[in-house]
Amino acid sequence: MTGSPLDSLISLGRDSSALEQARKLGFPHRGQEAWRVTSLESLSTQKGFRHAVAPSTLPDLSAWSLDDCDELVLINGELRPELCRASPELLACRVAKAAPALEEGGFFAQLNQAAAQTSFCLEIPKKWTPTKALHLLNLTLDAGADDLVPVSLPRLHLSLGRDASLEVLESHFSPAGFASLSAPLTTIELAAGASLTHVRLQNESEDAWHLATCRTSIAAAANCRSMAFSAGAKVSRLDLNAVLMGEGGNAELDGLYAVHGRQLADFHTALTHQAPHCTSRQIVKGILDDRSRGVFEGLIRIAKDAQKSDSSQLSRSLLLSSGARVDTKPELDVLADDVKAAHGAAIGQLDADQMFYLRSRGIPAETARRMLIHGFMEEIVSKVPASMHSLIAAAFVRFET
Amino acid sequence: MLSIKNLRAGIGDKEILKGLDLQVGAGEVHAIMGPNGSGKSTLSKVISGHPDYQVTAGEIKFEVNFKSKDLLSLLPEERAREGIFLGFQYPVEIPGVSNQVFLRAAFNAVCKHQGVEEMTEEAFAKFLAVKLESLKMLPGFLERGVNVGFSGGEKKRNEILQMAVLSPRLAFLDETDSGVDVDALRIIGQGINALRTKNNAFVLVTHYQRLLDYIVPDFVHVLHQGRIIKSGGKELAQAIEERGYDWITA
Repeated sequence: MTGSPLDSLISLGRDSSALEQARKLGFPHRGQEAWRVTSLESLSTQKGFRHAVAPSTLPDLSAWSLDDCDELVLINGELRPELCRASPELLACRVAKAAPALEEGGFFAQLNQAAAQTSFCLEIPKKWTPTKALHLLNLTLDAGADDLVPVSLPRLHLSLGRDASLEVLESHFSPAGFASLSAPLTTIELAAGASLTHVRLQNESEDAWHLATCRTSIAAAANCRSMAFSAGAKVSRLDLNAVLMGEGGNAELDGLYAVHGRQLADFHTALTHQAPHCTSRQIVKGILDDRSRGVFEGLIRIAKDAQKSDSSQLSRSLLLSSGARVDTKPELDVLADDVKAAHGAAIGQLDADQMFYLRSRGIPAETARRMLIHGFMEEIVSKVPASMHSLIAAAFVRFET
Repeated sequence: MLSIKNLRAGIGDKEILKGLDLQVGAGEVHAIMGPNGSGKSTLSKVISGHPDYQVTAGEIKFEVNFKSKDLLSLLPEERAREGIFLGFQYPVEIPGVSNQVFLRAAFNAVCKHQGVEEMTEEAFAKFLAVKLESLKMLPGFLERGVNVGFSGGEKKRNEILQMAVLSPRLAFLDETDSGVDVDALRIIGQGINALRTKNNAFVLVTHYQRLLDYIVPDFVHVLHQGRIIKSGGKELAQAIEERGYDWITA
């Protein structure tokens, strides 16, 4: 079929194997196992797509900015040096090369590879730790006046050398009322002994689609602490895939989303213990109000040789309304025989005894409700480095007391 | 201060309080004793407005500054702001909400309603430090989640701390002495005594005499099958300690 809206999405790509892959996979639909719960009908029925075009006059960025971090700003995936504020040492870590090609990956990861106009690669040299945390601020902005959906395809690659460490916030925003599609692809490589705190925040316009992919490889004795926060977008999805490649590695893949209205947030993770003696921890929490929907599918795979793996996974969902719905599917695929692997899932409402306890001390019901939601989030929010806290708090500001 | 007349209440279809009367005046300490299942906890829950309990008859009047209020028409948080405090038999754990945040939110809500100026964070911290000290609680206690991982004694001391912070007009303490060792009981007793004035009142709901070794009640009531069947002075508690309830309930 030519000339269809989805064709205009595919035709953003250059001829490449990624484009072939994207064509072969086809636009996601609910007949595909990986998309059986998450409907993209709101996106597939749009009139058409084109690359987002940055306006010549930029909006005030201060609401998306972090004072205590080195900050690099990408607009529609393109680094804007004039907006960046970082130490020369950190800027020197930027390397002018193409991000490595990813062979597997879903439709949006392939679309990103086929159609991204640029990529951003950062290599932290071995044994080095930047003095400040880094904020990679990704904005989707568009100056167009047609009724096509502007598409932003940030392609980010981070690599940490042996024993290097980094704290990074990868954030994604678009202005309120703005119906854009953002499909970022982030690849991360940790060399042996490297340590990364990767905070990811999606707080896009509630009219936007955010369909992201992240791939992380973790070498021996490396430590990856990852926290993915999702608050905005009409439909958001993160496909997060991490592999523990060497002995003694550690991965934490936490997630927290809050949705309301008719928002949908989808968190798909696949964590593979490829090597023995690795640990992994995962806590994914969702807060769902009104008629929103949440999806969590988390696969933990422990390969045959990955003896002495120690893995735990927990998902907890808080339903604030009878119209909200969550689908969780924790999955364990264990091929080794000497491992510790635990997983669990719980779905509940605000605890009536906790509500009464707070109210019996004079706290109004609405404040009590927000305090409890805040308490629910705290387990994950408390892991975020202090320098990034303000943007995370702003994303969940409606639960402030 | 508190006037309960012919109170009938229960949970679901089950009536637990069956025509209870009680009068509490300012400056008084009352003890309500009774065997298990007599309705002691239900009375505490009904006073504080627990949503699971339904009142089917009777009235509860609460006098604040010479004005009589119909307690049953108020929400739990409104009762607290008028100066009613319930010390929980089983204090609730709230992960992720620090004790400090909780205490300040409660304190500010009550101050706001009573027209008292709220304290700055700094002033409140100083105010809290004194209260903590008097209850022999370490400052690190404030950073922890409300009652999370607290021992039985710590939970009950935390109830008394909340009471000290909110300085209620009428405190209903539900089995504050249960699950508490002797040392904690003494600290709790001292904490309660330190808060006594001629303007407030305490109702100690208890199974045993032992809390009353520290706090001497003006009145002792025996609750049985949802009604107060005997009232007396402190010697009544002593008699129950020695002879049990049978001679009263039989």
